[in-house]
Amino acid sequence: MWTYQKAHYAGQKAHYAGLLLILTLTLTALTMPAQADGAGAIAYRKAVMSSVGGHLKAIVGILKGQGGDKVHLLAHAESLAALAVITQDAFPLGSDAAAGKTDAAARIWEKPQDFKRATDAFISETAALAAAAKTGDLRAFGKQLGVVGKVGCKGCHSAFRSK
Amino acid sequence: MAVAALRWLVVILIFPTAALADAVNRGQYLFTIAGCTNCHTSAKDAAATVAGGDALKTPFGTFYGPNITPDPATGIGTWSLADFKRAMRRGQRPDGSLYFPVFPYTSYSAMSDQDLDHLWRYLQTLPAVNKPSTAHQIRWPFGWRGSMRFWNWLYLPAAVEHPGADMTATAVERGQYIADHLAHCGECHTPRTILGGRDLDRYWAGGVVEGDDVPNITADNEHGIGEWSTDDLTMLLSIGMLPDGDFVGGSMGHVIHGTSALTAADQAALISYIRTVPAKRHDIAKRK
Repeated sequence: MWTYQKAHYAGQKAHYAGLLLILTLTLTALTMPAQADGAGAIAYRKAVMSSVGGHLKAIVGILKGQGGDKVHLLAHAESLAALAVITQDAFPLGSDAAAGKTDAAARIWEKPQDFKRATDAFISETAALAAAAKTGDLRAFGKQLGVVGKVGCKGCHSAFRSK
Repeated sequence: MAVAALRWLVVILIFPTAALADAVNRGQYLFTIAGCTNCHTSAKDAAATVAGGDALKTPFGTFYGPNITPDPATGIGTWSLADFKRAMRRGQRPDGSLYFPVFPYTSYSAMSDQDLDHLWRYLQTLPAVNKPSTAHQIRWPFGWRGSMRFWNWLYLPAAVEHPGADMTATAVERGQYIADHLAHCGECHTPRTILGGRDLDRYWAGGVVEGDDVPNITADNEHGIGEWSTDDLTMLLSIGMLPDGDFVGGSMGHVIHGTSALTAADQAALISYIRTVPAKRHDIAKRK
C-alpha cells in the first residue's frame, strides 16, 4: 500500500514536472523569438537583396555580351519586379542595427512614408523594366535599367543605407 | 546701315545672355560634380539647396556646412568674386579669418579661374535663403582658427591651376583634375595623418569617415579595385552599381549623383586617371 502510494505520487510528480517543462519551453519559445526574429529578419533581408544584386549582375552580363542569353532578360527582369515587392516587407520593426549587423539606416523606421515612397519607386521602375523586356526593345530596356539603378537602387541606398 | 545697326543690337542683346547661360550651365555642371550639396544642403525634408547642411563628425569635432546661398545676411550675398576665389583656393573668409579644412579648399586650390567664375555665376542663380548657419562644435584645442595658418603651411598646396581644367587636356590630366580638384575623391579615400592632413604616401588607400571604413580604391588587387574592369568603373560612376550587383549607398550614393552627371568624355577621362593610380596595400576596408 505504502509503496504503491509512493510510486503513485512519484508518477504524479513526474507528470507535473513534465507539464512544467512543456510550459517553460512554451514560454521560452514565445518570449525568445522577439530577439531572434530581428536577426532572422536581417538575414532574410540580406538574402533578398543578394538575389536582387544577382539578377542585376546577370542582366548587365547579358547586355554586355559577357555571358547568358538575351531571351532570359525577361525572366531576370520579372524576378526583379517580384523581389521589389518583397523589399517592402523586408524591413519589419525591430530589424535595425540594434538587432544585428546591418547597414540599414534608422531613417527607414523614422520616416516610414519616405521609405515607402522609395520602395514604391523601386517596384514601379522594375515593373517598367519587365515591361520593356517584353517588348524586346534592347535600347529601351538598357535605358530603363539605368533608371532602376539610379532611382530604385542607388536612390534608396543613398537615403536609407549607411554605406 | 539700319540693318547693320539692328544686327549689332541683336549681337549685343543675345550674345552676352547666351554666354552667361553657358557659364551658368557650366557652373551647375561643376557644382554637381563637386557635390556641393552633400555638405551644404540638409537631407531633411524640403531643405533648401545649399542653405546649410547636416552634421559631419570628425575626430576634431562636429562641423556643419554653412549657408552658401546668395542671402546677404546669412549666406554669401555680400561676397565679391574675389572673396569667393580666396575662400575656394586659400580657405579664407572675406574678413581674412581661416576656414577649417573640413571644407576641402586644399582640393579646390588648383581649380581654374574660369571654372571658379562659372561656379560663382551658378551660385548667384540659387534662391537666397535667410537661415543662420549652425555653429560647429569643435573639440578643444582645435577650435582656434589661427592654428590653421600652421596647418595650411603644412598641407595647403600653392594655388596653381591644374592643366586638366582645360577641356583639351589629355584624358589622364582631365581625369585627375576631376578626381582631385572637383569631385575631391581623396578627401575621404586618402587616409589622414594625426594632424588631419591627407597622407599622400597612401593616396586613395582608404580611410575612415564618421566611424565608417572608406574603401581602398587604388589598383591593389587584394584590397583595392585592381580587379575591376573598365566596365565595372563605368557602371559605378554612372549608376552606382558595384561589380557584385550591389549598389553603393550613404555618402558614396550622393557622390554618384555627381559622377552620373559627367559627360561621356569626362567620365572616360576620370576612369583613365583612376587606372593610373598605383596600388597601395592598405587593408582598410573590404566591403562586406
